[in-house]
Amino acid sequence: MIGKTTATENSPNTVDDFAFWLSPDKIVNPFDFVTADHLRGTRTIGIVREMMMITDAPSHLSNYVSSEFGTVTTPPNTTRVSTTIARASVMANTGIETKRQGISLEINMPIENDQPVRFATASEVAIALGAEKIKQPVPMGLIEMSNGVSIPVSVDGRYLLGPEAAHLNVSGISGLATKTSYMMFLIQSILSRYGHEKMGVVMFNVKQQDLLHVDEEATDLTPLDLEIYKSLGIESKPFANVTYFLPRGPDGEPDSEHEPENSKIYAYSLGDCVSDTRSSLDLLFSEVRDPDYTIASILEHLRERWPLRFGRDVKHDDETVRTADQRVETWEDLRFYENFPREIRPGSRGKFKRHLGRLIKNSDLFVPGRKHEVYLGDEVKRLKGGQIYVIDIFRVGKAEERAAFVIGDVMRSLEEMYAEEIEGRPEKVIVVVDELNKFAPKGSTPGPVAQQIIEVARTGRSRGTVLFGAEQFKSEAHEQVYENAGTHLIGRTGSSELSTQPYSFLDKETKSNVTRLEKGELVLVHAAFRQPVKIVFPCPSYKRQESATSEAREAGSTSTSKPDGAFSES
Amino acid sequence: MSIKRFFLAPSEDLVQLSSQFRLVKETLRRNGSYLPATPDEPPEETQPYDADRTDDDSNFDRKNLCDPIEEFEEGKEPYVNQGSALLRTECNFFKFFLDGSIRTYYLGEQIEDNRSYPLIATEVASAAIKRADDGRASVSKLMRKVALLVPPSPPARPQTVRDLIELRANFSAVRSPIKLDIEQLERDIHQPGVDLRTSLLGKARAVMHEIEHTLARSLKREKGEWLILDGAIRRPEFLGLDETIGLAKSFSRNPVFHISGRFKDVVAMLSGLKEGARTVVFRHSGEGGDPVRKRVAFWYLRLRSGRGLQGPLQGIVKIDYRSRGDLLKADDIELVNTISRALLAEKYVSPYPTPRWHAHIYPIYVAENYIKSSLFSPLAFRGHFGGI
Repeated sequence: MIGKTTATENSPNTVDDFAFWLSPDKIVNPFDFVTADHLRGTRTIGIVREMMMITDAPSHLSNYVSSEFGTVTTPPNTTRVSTTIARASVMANTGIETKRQGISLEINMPIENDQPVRFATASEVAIALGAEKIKQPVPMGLIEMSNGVSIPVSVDGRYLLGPEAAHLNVSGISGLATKTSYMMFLIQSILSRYGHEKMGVVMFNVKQQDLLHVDEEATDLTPLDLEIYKSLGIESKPFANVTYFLPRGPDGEPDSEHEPENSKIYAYSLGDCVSDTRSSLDLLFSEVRDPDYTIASILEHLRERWPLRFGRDVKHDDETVRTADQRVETWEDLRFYENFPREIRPGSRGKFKRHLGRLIKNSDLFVPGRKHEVYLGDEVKRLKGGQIYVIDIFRVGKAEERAAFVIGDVMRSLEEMYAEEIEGRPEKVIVVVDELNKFAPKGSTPGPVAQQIIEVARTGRSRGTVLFGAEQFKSEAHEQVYENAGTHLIGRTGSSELSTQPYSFLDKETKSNVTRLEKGELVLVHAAFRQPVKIVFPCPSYKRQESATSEAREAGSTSTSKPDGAFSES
Repeated sequence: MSIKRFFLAPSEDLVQLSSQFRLVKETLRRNGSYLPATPDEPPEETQPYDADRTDDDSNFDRKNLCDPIEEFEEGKEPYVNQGSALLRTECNFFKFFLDGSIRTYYLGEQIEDNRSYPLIATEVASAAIKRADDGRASVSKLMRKVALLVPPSPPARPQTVRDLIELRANFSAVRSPIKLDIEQLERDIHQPGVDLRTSLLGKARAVMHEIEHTLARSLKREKGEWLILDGAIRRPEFLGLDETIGLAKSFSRNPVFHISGRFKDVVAMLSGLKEGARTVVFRHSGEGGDPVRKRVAFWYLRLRSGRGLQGPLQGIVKIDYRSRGDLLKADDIELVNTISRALLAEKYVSPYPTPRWHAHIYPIYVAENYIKSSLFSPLAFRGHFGGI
C-alpha cells in the first residue's frame, strides 16, 4: 500500500479524479498507475497526474514567522507535519457483475475518503487501457512504473490503421532521437502483428543516412532494448524486403549519403509529371505564391492541351530552336513553349518560366528522358504487401520545393493506386513523413503538396493509406494533418509550444510533465484511452544513423559531404 | 441492485453509540419529559474560552503569595538569562507532548417532578505526540471518550440516576472501541448558586483531565524522555508523572510574588523579562491543603519578544514542575535551566498564526489538530446523537 485517498471540502474527489496522500517512504511519479479500493469490492484505477507537497502552514508567512521572522540558520526543532498529495485521473473501474452475462457495470462514483491506494497490477493497467476490448493489439511500448514494474501497452490496430481511426502524429523537440525512432519501432511492431503480406510501407529519408540502413542488423541495441522487445513479443530484426529509391545526381549517379545494395535511382521526366489524364506540375509549383491563379491556369492549360505541340516556330537568338509541329517532350521544351492562350499575359508566362527554370535548372533530378532511372509514381503503384520503400530525399532538399514535390507526387500516386484498383495492392500502406511542418505547414491556404498530405489525413483512413507524421512543433503544421490523427505521441516539448492551441487536448498537469520527458519517453494520447499515458520503447532494430556514420568514419569513408539547405534538424 | 448498499455503512462504533444514546433517551422518557434542543444548537465551546488560564486561576487566589525557592541576588530582578537554546540536534530533550480536547453539546432539558435539568453530552480526547530524533512528529497514542453528563439527585430523580447507572454498566460490557459513558456530577463539586450547566461543563473538563492522565501514564517512555503537558498542572495525579512539565501559554493574573521584601503582581514581575530569560522558580507560600499548590514549583520563560507581539505577557510561557524541596539545589537549578533552554528551542517552528501562537509550541499544536480531526464533527455528532 502506498497511501490512502483523501477528499476534503475544498478538494473533493470527483468522477474524473481522486487524490491520495503518500506514505512517507514511498516513491511515486507522474504517469504511474495506481489502484484504489472502491464500492462493492470494485477497484478504480487511476493515473497519477500531479503531486504536491503540503504542510500545515497556512501561508508562506507562517513559515517565515516560524523561522523567527527570517532567521535562516536555526534548524526546526520539530519538522512541520507534511505529506505529498498525489492526484490521479480515473482511467477505469473494475466493475461489478450484472445479470447480463459478460457485461459488468463500472462504478463511476467518486472514490471515498481513506481508501487504500497501491500500485496497479499489470491486469489492472490492462483494464485501465481497455485491453480486453482490443481486437487487433499493436504493442506501442512499455509503461514503466516507479515500483520497478514494466507493463506492455497495446492499442487496437483498428484505431491506429483504420477503419475506426487512423494516422499517427509524433511531435517533440529534436535531438532526442525519439520521433523517427518511435515511428520505425512502431512499424516493426505493426508488421510483427499484422503480417508483412498485408502491409506496405513508404518512408521518406530526410536526414543523412537515417533510414538508409533499415534492412541492416542493428549494432546499438542494449540488453534493455532486447528485454523490451521480448516483453512486447516483437522479434528484434531489421526490416526485410526493402527497396531504396535514391535521387538521381550528377552523371546519373545516386545523390545520396549512402548507396544501399537494393536501391534504384529515381528521376522525373516531363512526361512523368504531366499527361492528358494527370498532372503533378502543381506539386512542383507548390511553394510559388499564386494569388491570381495565373500559374494554376497555365498548368491547367498544359494538362488540357497535352500532348502539346509548339504551334509556331520558337526562335532564340534569331535561331529556330523548336518548330511549330514539334511536340513538347522535355523540361527544356517546356521552357521554350509559347503557345499560351491570349488570356495568359506575357508577365504570367514569364513568371511561370522563371520559376520552372529555377526549379529544374541545376537539378539532376529532372531529366529529358529517363534511362535506367525509375519514376516513383509508377513504383509506388507497384507496391505489394510486405514491401518497404525508402525514398531518400535528403539531398533533394537543396530546394525544399523539390523534396515537397517528391512527397506530394508519391502521395498522389498512392491515391491513384487505390482509385485504379491495382491488383495485389497491400491492404494498408503506411506513409512515413518526417518534418510535416515543412511539407504541410500551418496556414489558411495550403499549397498543392500540403493539400495532398491533408487529403491523405482526411480520407486515407477509408482507403487504407495511413499517415505516420512527425514534426517538432504541432503548432507549425497544418491543423488538418494532426487533428485527423487518432493517435498522438508527444516527446519533450517546451512550455511555450505546449501553450498553443494544438495541445489544448492536454490538461495543464500533463503539459507540465511533458516538459520533463527524457530521451526515449513519449506521452501516448490515443482515441481509446481516457487519459494520456507515458511509454518507453526500445531502439528500432536496424542499423541507425549514429552507428552507421561512426562505422563509415572508422572505415575512412569519404561519403560524408553535406548538401546545403538539407533537412538537418536544429 | 440496491442503491442503499452503494453508500458507506456507518462505522461499527457509530452504530453502537447511536443505539446507546437511544436507550438513554428511552430511559429519560420513562422517568420524565425530555425536551430536545434544536439540532443547530452550537457546541458549548464556541464561546471564547481560555482553558489554560481558567485552570491556572484555580491554582491561585488573591490571598496566595508566591515565594521564590531559588536564590538570586538581593535587589536585582529575579531573572536568569538562559543563553542559547538547547536545540533538538544537540539533545532531543522533550520527546512527548500531550494535549487534551473537549467538545460538549447541550442536548436538551429533562423535566422530572416539576424540576428540570440540562442534559450535556461531551466528547473528550487526549493525544500524545512523539518527536523522533530527526524532528519528525508522529502520534504516539490517542484516547477518546463520549459521555453523557448527569446532574446529582436532585434535580435528577434517584430512579433516573439509578437507571442511567445501570445502563452504563451494560454499555461498558459492550465490545466496541468507543462507547457511551455516563458521568454523574458529584454533589460536592456542584456548588450551590452555580449554574448547573456550568458545573456540568466543569465535569466534562474533569473527564478530559482524567483521560489525559491515563494516557500520560500509559506512555512508554524511556528515562530522559521528557513529556510536556499542555496547560498548567492542576490535578494532583499529574504530580506522580516523572520527567514531566506542564506548559501554559496563558496563565493566571492572580498570583502575587514576594520578592526582596516587596510584593509584585504577575505583570509587574514579568514586565522586564527579556527574550531567552526565565524568572527564578516560585512556589506557593503557606501550607495550604491543596496538594498541587503545595508541590508545584513554577517559573516563567520568555520565548519571544518584539516583532509581532502586542502585550507585555505575550511570548511568555509558564512552566509547572513537581518541586523536590523547599529550596532548589544546584542540580535542581541545572535541570530548570536545561528545561528552559530546551523550551527556547521549541519556538522553531511556530504555529503562527493561530491564537496565542507566540507562546504556543508546535508539537502541542500538532496534538491539538490530531485530536480535533479524531473527534466527531459537531454536525455528525448532532446528526447521530443529538436527536434523542
